[in-house]
Amino acid sequence: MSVHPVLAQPIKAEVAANGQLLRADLPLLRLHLQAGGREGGYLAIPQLAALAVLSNRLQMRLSRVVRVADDQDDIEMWVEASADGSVTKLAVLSWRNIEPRILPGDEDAERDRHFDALDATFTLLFDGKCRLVRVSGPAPEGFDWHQIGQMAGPVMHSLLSEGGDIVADAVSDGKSVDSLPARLHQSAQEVFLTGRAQFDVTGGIAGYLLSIARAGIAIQETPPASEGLSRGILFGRQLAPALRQPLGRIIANAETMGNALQGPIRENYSVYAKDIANAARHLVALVDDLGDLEAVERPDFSVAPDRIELGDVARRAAGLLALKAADHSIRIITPPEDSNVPAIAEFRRVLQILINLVTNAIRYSPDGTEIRIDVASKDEFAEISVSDQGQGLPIEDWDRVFDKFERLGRTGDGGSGLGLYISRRLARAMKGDLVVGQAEGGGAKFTLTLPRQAG
Amino acid sequence: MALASFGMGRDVADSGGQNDGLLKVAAFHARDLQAACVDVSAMIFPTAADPPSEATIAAVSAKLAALVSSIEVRLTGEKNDQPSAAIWQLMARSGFLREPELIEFLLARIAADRLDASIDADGEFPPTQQLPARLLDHEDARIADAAQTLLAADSLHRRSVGFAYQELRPELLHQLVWRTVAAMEVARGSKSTAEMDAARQMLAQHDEGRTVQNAAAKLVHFLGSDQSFDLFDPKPAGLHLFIAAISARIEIDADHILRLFDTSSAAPGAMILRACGLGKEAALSIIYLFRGFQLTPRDIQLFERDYDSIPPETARNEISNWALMRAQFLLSGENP
Repeated sequence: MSVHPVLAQPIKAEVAANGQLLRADLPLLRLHLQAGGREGGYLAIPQLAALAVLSNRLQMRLSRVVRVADDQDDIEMWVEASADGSVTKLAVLSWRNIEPRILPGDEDAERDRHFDALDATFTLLFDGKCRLVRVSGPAPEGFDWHQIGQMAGPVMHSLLSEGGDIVADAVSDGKSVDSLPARLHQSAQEVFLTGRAQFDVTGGIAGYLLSIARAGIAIQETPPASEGLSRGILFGRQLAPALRQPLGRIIANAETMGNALQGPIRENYSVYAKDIANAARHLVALVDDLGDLEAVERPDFSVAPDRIELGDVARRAAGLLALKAADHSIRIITPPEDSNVPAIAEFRRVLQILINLVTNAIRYSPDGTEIRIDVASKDEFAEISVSDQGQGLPIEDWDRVFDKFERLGRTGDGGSGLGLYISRRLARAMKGDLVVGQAEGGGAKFTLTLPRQAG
Repeated sequence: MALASFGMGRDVADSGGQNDGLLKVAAFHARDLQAACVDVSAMIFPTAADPPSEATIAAVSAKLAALVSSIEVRLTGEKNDQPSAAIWQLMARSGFLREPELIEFLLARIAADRLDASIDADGEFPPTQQLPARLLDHEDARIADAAQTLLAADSLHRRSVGFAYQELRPELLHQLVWRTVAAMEVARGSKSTAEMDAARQMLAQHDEGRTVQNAAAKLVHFLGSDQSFDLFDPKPAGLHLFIAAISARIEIDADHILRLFDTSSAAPGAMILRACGLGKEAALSIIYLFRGFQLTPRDIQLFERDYDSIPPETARNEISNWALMRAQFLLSGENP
């Protein structure tokens, strides 16, 4: 029952503490050269080099699976590394070629699937001004799309004799259309349309993808990836994960450089690397905010109200942010354990709003101050407020601060100008509101009002 | 609170200064530990606010104490089942004992204990009939050897006393050993060559390949694409091979998978099984094994209505995002 092509003898190599390849058996040497390394140079297979350097730094015996790629295949190997003074000995116990893996968020694979789907349907891609950018797939019978290609300027309206207005509205609102009956100008043929808006990273409409099928022929959905969970949520479910991954890598690599984990670097370079990491973190926060923004602005956005106790939510939010506050010697004062202010709202949305408010309060309060979270019942409403001891907001900004992308002139503090906008949208979706006023002592006081639970 | 119970089992009233001091320090740092646990658990499953239970916090405290104590014993040669108060106090004050990576490691061990207990309680496959034991006779000597290593490491882990440090990842063990040496130096007011030599020797003798997780990963690797063993059924495969097989399939750290299976919701576990391509029936039986009566109507609905409609690729994307957020949190200490 031999189940695995085990090597008769381990493939061996020796690596110096600085990553230089001292010697290697032929298969490893070949892989090293294919990866751009040279004899006597640094080991050019990053995964193996990292393992060797780590083993040497820790002076410990390591044993791990390593996946590398040559020019044709992915190779999976089991490698043992043992440090012997300044030299690390590598022993490869198994070596097998594996199918190249399609990793989550692999943009190329996503793109290929997208093009496959395009090929199967007659699809027109328009830019943000309704100009035709690309045509693909088999055209409906009798439809001369070459003429379309020769038209200048906006062409979407000239395509359709029926259904054009509905499509135009969908384009301007960034909405989708599904199996919409329409008729083509050219052939007077009845067709079904499926349309999806294309968004840019700021959430703006970058274009529109229109698929056309003859009546009686089912339209193939595009793109098919993530179908089911993510239909109609382009940014939050599809683009955001794809953006987070490279940003995560940027942060990780910049932090590695900034902290000189791979060896000493000049001090100003370290500062640059930390700037890069901070900028990427800001972008990640922005990506998250834009995902939320897209969700709250969808016409079918809804919340799942439940019975919650506002004091409990306050204490949980404070717990989550305790370390962040402690970094600034800020004390968060929460309602007493026996508080009882019931409300009807979605727990995680209220928690999201509170975390946003308390994070802002930490961000804009001087070190060593206090942030206070209070809860109260008033008539048919329950209230929860977050007060800080910062500079507060002038009365003319009390409404403006809830505008989309409004930063009140602040820059460089990691905010996107979306948090309060999203929070107010969430509050209103729960039949409540979010307002700002002045706290005792002049700081800002944000008050979230929610329907009170009867009884 | 969790750490307030630290030191139980000794007579506090008769303990003199030692235990009083220990309890005082423990109580002082209990809040910090809880805050760290909350932060870490929020990162593990970021879309849910899922603070750890008192029982989990207590278990983290106990394991943390056992870990520090096991290293201290190896360095000094003095037998003690609790870390000395001075060392514990210094390490707690330095903030090291609330390092997310360390707390995460402990949370994963606690998760493994719970999940393992579920398989034991089921009783269909006692450890002697699980796959690692059957592989001892495998014709491929490396597989047989890895199986033996896994069983030995698991046995050591179950006995635990004095060996808690052996399951630590090398990077973490390296940090913890030298932090302990530093704390001992500060407590005594002078360096000890003997302790430093003991630390070096301890690290040089450590072999990552002898840990439970690594041996399981090695077995999965060497079994390769062999279809004759069902690694994705935890009852015959045993917890460690089951987790290692998932880890290899979706390329996510085994500890992260353990913690996701042990959250208060069944959804993360379901997402993992879907990412592995398991059908509804198989997945439901695994979730039922691990959670039993804890399954809520919502969990059942998740399987009945949604499970099969989630494409495995989407599930892999989701899990990959959680792992990325966690890694980013560990790296920067900030919520991405």
